Amino acid sequence: MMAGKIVKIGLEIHVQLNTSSKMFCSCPTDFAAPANTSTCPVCLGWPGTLPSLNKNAVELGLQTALALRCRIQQVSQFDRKNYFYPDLPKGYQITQHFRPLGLDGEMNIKNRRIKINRVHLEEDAGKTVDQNGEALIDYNRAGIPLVEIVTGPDISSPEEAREFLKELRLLLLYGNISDCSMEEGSLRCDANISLAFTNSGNNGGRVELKNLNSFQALSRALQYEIERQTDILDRDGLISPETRGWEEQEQKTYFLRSKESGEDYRYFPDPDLPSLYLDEKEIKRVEEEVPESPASRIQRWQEDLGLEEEECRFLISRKDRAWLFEEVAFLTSPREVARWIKENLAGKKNLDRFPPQFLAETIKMVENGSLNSTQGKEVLELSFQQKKDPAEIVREKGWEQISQPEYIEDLVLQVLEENPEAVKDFLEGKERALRHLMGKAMERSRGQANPEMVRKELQKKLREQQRNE
Amino acid sequence: MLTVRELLLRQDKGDISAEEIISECQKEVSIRDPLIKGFIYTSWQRAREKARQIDQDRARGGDRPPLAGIPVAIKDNLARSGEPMTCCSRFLKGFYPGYTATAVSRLEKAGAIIIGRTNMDELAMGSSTENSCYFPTHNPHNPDYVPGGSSGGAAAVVGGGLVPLSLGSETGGSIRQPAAFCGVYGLRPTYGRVSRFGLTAYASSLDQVGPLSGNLEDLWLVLKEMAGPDELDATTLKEPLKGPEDPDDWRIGLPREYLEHIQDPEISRRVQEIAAELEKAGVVVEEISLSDPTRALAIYSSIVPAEASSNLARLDGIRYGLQSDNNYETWEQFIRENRGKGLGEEVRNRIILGTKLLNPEGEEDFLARGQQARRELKEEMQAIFKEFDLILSPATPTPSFKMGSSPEHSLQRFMSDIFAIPASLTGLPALTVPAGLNSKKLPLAIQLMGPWGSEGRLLGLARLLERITGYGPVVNDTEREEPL
Repeated sequence: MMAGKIVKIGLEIHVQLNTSSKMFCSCPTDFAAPANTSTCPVCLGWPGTLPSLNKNAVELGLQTALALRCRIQQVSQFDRKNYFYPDLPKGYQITQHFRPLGLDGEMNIKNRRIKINRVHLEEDAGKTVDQNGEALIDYNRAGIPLVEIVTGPDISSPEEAREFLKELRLLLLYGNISDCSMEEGSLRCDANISLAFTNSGNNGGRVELKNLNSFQALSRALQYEIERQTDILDRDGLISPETRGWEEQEQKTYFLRSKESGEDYRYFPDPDLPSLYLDEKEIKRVEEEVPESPASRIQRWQEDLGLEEEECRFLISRKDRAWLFEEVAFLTSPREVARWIKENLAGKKNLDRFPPQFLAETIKMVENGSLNSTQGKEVLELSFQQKKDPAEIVREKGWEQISQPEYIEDLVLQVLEENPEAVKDFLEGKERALRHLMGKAMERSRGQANPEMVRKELQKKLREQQRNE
Repeated sequence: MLTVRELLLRQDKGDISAEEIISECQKEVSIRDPLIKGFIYTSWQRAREKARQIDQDRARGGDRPPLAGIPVAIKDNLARSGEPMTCCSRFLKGFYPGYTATAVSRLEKAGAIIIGRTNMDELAMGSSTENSCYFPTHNPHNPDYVPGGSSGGAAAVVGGGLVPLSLGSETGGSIRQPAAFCGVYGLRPTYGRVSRFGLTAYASSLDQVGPLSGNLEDLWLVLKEMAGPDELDATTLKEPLKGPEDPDDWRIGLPREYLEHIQDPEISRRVQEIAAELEKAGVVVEEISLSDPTRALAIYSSIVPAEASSNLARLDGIRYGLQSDNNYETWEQFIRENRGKGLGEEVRNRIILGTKLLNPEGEEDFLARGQQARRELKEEMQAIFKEFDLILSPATPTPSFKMGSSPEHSLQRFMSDIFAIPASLTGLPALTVPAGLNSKKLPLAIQLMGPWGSEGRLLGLARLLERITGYGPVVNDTEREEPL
C-alpha cells in the first residue's frame, strides 16, 4: 500500500419525514397499509391532477436544515427530475435541484466538523417488489415526503461515516423529524468515495455506493471499496467514476453503471408549483420550536447533573431511554438513575411506555433499605414486564417490611441468644460485630424486618447488656 | 340557439323547463352534429336526470342556481367523474378519471348541465382538429373547412348553434383560434384565473381553461362561476375577478408588426374598419410597435415541447392507458411499445423535440434562450400596458382553411396561432371577438389582449364593438328545423 493515502467520503441521506399525509396530496403515509391502498389520482400521476404542497413537510424540512445549521434560502423552488421507471408514477420526481431549502450547514462528530452541502425536500417513489420473478409495484410509498441531506467529502474513514450517520440519526430522532428506521427504509444512505495519493498523483475517480441501508453495510461497503480501490491504484490501474451496489450476502460491492454513460435527468423548474417563500418570522418560529438536540442534552447532563460522557452517550443512544432518564433523574440521584437504567434496563425496548414513577419507587425502596439490591432488581424486572406498581409486587412477594415493635424485639432477642460469640465480640469493643448481628437478624426475618428498627433495637439491647455487666 | 340569459328568463317565466331544454338540445345535436362532428361523447341520460333534479328543486321553491339548466359541452381533455376522458388520443381510450376538473364541477354546482365531450387535436396538439384519434370536426359555416384547433369541437358546436356554451382549453391559442374560425367569442383568462385541476396538461406554465360562446354576456356569466382560487391548483390566483368595464378615455394599441403578418386582405380591411369605428366612438387607437410575433412563436416552440415531454411522461401504460399485448422482455420495452402504439405522430414528434430541448448536450440551449426571451416579452408587455389599456390585433392571419393536408395548409396551420401566442407566453388575458363573415361566408375575427387581470376590460370593449360595428358572432343554425 502506498503512503499518504487520502480517503474522501461524502454521504447522501434520504429521510422520510414524520408527516401524516404525503408531500403533494392528502393520502396517509401509512407504511404498513395493504399494497396500493394509500394512493389517489394525484400520487398515481393520473392526467389532469396537480400537486398541492404539504406545509407540514416544509416545516420538518426547515427544521432539519436549521438543526444542521444551514443557511436557509428564503426563496426555494421545486424542480422536476425526469426519468422513466415503473415505480415513478409521473415520469418525473418532484425535488429541489436548482434552489434547495438549505445550504452550507455543518454537523460535529467527536472533534470533527462535517460540512453539509445541502438539505432539500423531495417526494419518494413507489416500491418494486419481486415476487417469483414478477415485478409488482406498490405505490403506497410514492409521494411520501423526504428530506435529502448531502454532506461535503469531509468524512475520512468508514468508522467516521458510521459515526456521522449515527449522530445524524439521533439528531433527526430527537427533532421528531423522522422515525429513522433503516430496516423500514425511512432512513436510507448512499455514499461517494474517492481515493487520492499525496505522492504518486494517481487519484481515483468518484465511486457512488447505492443503498447502504444499515450502519454495518455502510462501514463494510466503504471498507471494501477502500481495499478494492487501493489495490487497483497500487497496480497503477484506473478508477473511473461509477455507481456500485452492495451485495449483503457476499459482503462485496458490485458494478451497477458507469457515470460516463451520462445520468441525464433533464431538470427544470416544476411549473405546477410556485416558488416556496419563507419569511424571517416563519423561519424564526420554527427555529424556536426545534426540540433540544442530543448534543446539547449531553452537555446539560454533564454540567448540571454531573454525569460522565460515557453515561450520557449510553442514555442518548436510544430516545426512549433518554426520556425515561429525564423523567426520573430529578426524583432521586441522577447518577443513581443512570446506573439503574444501564444495569437493569439496557436491553429493554419501549422504555417510553414504562411509567417512570415505577422506576423511581423501586430505586427509593432500595435506597431506604426496604429492599436489598437483589430484591430491587427483581422488583424492577417484574414491574417492567407486567407494567405493575413495584409496591404491589413487593406486597405479592411478601417482601413488605415488618415494623411491629413486638416482632422486632423478639427477633433481636433471638438473634442475640443464637450468636453469643458476636455479642461477646461487641462487648469487647469490636464494632463490626453489630453489622454481623444485623445481617443475621435480616436473614432470620427473610429481609422483611424494618432494618432501621432492627438496628436501633440491637443497639438498645446490647447497651443494656453492657450496663448489666 | 338561445343565449344563457334567454334560457334562464324563459325558465323563470315557466315557458320551458330544464328538462325540455336538454331534450331540445339533444334533438338538435342528433340532427346536425353528424355534419359538424363536434361531439365525441354525449351523456344525455345523465344530463336529463340532472335537469329533472333542477326542475324539481325549483318546483319546491328552491333558489334558481345562476346557470340552472344551461347545456354546456366540454373539451375532451377536461376530467369529469363518471365518464371517459381520452383527450382524443388512442392511448387514453377507455380511461375513466373518476374525478372532475374544478372548472367543470364549479359550473355543475352553478346548475349548468354537461351534455357531452367535444373533439380536439390529440392531447391538444394541433390547430385544426384533424389530428384526433376519432375523426376530424367540420367548420359549422362550411363543412369543407376546418374549425381550427385544438378546441375545434368546442368552437364548432357553439358556432353551429348546438349549445350556447362550451369549455375549451388553450396553451397557445387553442381557444381563440377556433373561436375565430367558427365565428364565436373565445376567452383566454389570465393565467391562474381558472383552476387547471382536471385539465390534462400540455404545457403547464401556459395552459388555461376558458369559455367559448356565441354571446358576450354568457362568457362573463360562465367565467364568474369558474374563476377563483382552488386548493387543488397551487398556481390559481387569489385576486378577485373584476366585472366588465365601460371604455373611459381608453387608449388602444394596434401593433404594426402584427398587421404585417396578416395573409388575407379581407382581414386587413376588417381590422382597419373596426379601428376606425372605435375612433369614431371616441376611443383612441394608435399604431404601436411590439416585437415581431414570429419571435413569440420561436419562444413558444422552445418551451412548450419541453414541458409537454415531461407532462406526458406519465402516459406509460403501467397504471392506465393503452397496454401492448405483445411480449416484451424489459419494462423499457413495454413502455416504449405502449407509447409508440398509443400516441400519434404529432405527439411523438413534440415529445422527442421536448426531450432534446431539455437536454441540449452541448448543442445550443434553446430552452434557456427561450426562457430568457419569455421574460423579456413579459417586460415588453408590462411596459406597453402602462401606456395602453388594450391591444387590438387580428385574431388569425387567415380565415379558416380547407381540410386535408397540403404544404400550403401546414404553413397556415403553423402560423395560425401567431397572434395568440404572445398572451399565452405572458399569462395575459385575451379575447377573440368575432367580426362577421368574409366574402366566402367564413367568419372573421379580431383579438383583444389586455394587461394582467383585465378580463373585465376585454369584455367591456367587446360590448362596445358589438354595438358600434354591426359585426358580431355568426352562429350558423340555419339548418335547424324548428326554433327552440
